[in-house]
Amino acid sequence: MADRGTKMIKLRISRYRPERSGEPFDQEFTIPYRDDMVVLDALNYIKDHIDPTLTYRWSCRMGICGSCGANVDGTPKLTCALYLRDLKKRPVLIEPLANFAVLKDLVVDIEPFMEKLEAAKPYIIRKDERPIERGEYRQTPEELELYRQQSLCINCMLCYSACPVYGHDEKFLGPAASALALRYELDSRDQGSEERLAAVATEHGIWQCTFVGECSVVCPKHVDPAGAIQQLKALAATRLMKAMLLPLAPR
Amino acid sequence: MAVETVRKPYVRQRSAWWWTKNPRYVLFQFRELSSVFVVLYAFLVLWQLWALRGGSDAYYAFLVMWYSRPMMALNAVILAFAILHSVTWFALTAKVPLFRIKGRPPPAALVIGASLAIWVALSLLIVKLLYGGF
Ligand code: SF4
Ligand code: FES
Repeated sequence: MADRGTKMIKLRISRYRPERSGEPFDQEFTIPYRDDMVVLDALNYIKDHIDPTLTYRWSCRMGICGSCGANVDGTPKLTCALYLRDLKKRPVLIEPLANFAVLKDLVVDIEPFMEKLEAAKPYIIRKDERPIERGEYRQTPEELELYRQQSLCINCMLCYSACPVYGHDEKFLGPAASALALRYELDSRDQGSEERLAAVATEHGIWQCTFVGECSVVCPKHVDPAGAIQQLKALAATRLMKAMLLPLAPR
Repeated sequence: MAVETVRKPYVRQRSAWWWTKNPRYVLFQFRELSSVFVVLYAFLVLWQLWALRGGSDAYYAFLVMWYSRPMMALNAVILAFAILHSVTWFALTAKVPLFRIKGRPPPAALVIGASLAIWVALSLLIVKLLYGGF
């Protein structure tokens, strides 16, 4: 393993072991490393060779499952997509995603996030449900393009970890769920706009966003949830104006 | 069979200094703070109207105070915050594509640039109306 001449790297990892300690504590590990290692490789090295109790989530190790998020040197990152060589500070500080309760080591409670996603009504709502025999609802490539950006979200929760508004009040609907709502708002097959907008254009919904913008900075998929929320605000506001000015017009 | 659980979710407390950890959070806090200064300016204008109502002596006293150094300094700070607020607000406009060019939202730089240009032009127009000349 660690021959002479091997480069070593020191990591400081936040640990929390509910069955033992009352409080999270930091633990340092020094491991051999190569330039092609990502943070997740380092965690796997520690788990395989030093401490099998180290607990964290991952699956695809290619930036698509969205389960390996952690705060690295204070910034929410996918640990499978972050090279150790790109990190300047030593030791490298690895903490669970901020703004979520910690269950064990780097594993956080994602339940509040799941509730937000559900609240955004992330499914196609039809007023006239067509019989199966008539086939699928078809869409042109241009219509698909309208919501493609918002559909790329991998539910990694980095944006929630970066959002100070969510950190302040966990009732806030938050970035990814809002982007998901917009994704269905922009879908030509959807007819549930009124219902969905009513669900998200609330005090703890999109209107609680003060446009810090950090969610869009950390998003690994360039979903731009901050932009999505502003678009939803514009949609909700124009809808309201129309309702007031043209009470009889179809919406 | 009942399984014993040791699930004890740990809720971390956020430090009061969280916003100092990231320059973008600092900028955000300053933008929020700018509203305080904008309100302050509104009160200064009300004060001015109040002085005007009190007759020429009262208004003259107000003007002496208004052009004093501390007042000028305060106004400079208010102006700086107002500009910060406006510029960051216009940077937002590009996030809402209200129209599309050939099926695509207009480029962000174009929207921001155009909004800033209109803002500066309108501001100059108001200055001209108020003070005349150029
Ligand atoms: S919007 Fe981006 S940062 Fe947020 S959960 Fe989706 S992919 Fe992750
Ligand atoms: S392990 Fe799947 S996104 Fe990182």
